[in-house]
Amino acid sequence: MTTEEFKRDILRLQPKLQRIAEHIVGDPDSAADAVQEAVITLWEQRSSLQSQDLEKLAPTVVKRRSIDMLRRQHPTVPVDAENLMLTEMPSDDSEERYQLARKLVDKLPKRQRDTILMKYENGLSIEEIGEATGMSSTHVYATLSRAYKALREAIKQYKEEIS
Amino acid sequence: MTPENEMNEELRQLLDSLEEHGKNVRRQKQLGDLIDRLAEEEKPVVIPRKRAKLVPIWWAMGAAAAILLLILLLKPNGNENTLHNDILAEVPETVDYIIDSVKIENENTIIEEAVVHKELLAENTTVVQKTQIKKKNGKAEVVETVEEQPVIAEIIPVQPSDSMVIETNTIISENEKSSDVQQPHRRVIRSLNLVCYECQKEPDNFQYQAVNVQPEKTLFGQPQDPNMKDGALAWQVKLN
Repeated sequence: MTTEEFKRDILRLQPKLQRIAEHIVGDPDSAADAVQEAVITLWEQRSSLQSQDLEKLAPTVVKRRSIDMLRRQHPTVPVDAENLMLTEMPSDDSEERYQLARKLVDKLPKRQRDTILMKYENGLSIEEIGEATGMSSTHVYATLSRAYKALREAIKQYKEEIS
Repeated sequence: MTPENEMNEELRQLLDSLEEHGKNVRRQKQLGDLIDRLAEEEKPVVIPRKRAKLVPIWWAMGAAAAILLLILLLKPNGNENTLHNDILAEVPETVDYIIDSVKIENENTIIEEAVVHKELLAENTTVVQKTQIKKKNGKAEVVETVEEQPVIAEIIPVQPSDSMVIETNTIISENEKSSDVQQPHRRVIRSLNLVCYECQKEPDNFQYQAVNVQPEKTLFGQPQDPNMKDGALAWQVKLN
């Protein structure tokens, strides 16, 4: 398995692996750390792996690393590793929800849409958004407030369309 | 839950999904960077390992081959010692004294060995047999020269320090007489110029008599030669 193939498959599996780790560890950041440790382990074995092997092996390795992390975080609490390893993967509708959210956000005016995406998708602070857009912090807050109001209307309209 | 609160909850979920997607994108970027870093760290490690495996092996093999070739070229002819030993093995049966000298003129071309066999046959004549073995380009050539050196005065033989006395065991066959067995000893005595100075008689006037040195039978009744002592015939010289 080449480096490019490994990277492509890992990035494709990342949301799934993150979800598994979060389900076990509970904390998104710790789950991300567990996924990184699992990726390092898989990297060392990549010469003997195929794509289909990686798809099966990666969740198992992530589960084991997540259990190890759980033990490190709570050394005095017994961990039922066997049951955690047998845990079914939680149902995943995040992609659908994201697509719906993105569809509603894209209907917003450009300034409001950019402000919402910078704040939530890119994780920028109010000051960073102000520096990026040239707006003051007060103006950023006002723009976000108008964007929330527009999204509420969009959600209401979407629900009416469904019903 | 009021409709307003319900709408706020749905808005919060929508924004959370945006935030979660953004985090996942950033995590994917981190994972991509991590894989790139792992690949970069692996590259400089792999190449020197390959070189480290190959280069010293070739150098060691080349050096070993050169040293072996040098040893083979500079090594003296290995057959020299073997030939020398063969000569030493043949000589003791025919001569009394062996004087060996080895002269090496050139290690690569000529190795000259001179073996002087001095045999004292009569009281006034010394026959010197010289054997020279010249080795040239691996081929041995034996040159023998015999010189007679008449002795005028009394000969006092001096055994060289690097010489050796060879005594041979003589087995008496049925056709031989005891005098035949004693012949070599007599000759040796002549060569020592053993002369009775009182009567000025020739060595032929001496007689050799065997001496009984042990009983004819052993303690266990086995017959044995009473004249034999330490594997040699015991005798004495008697003037006629």
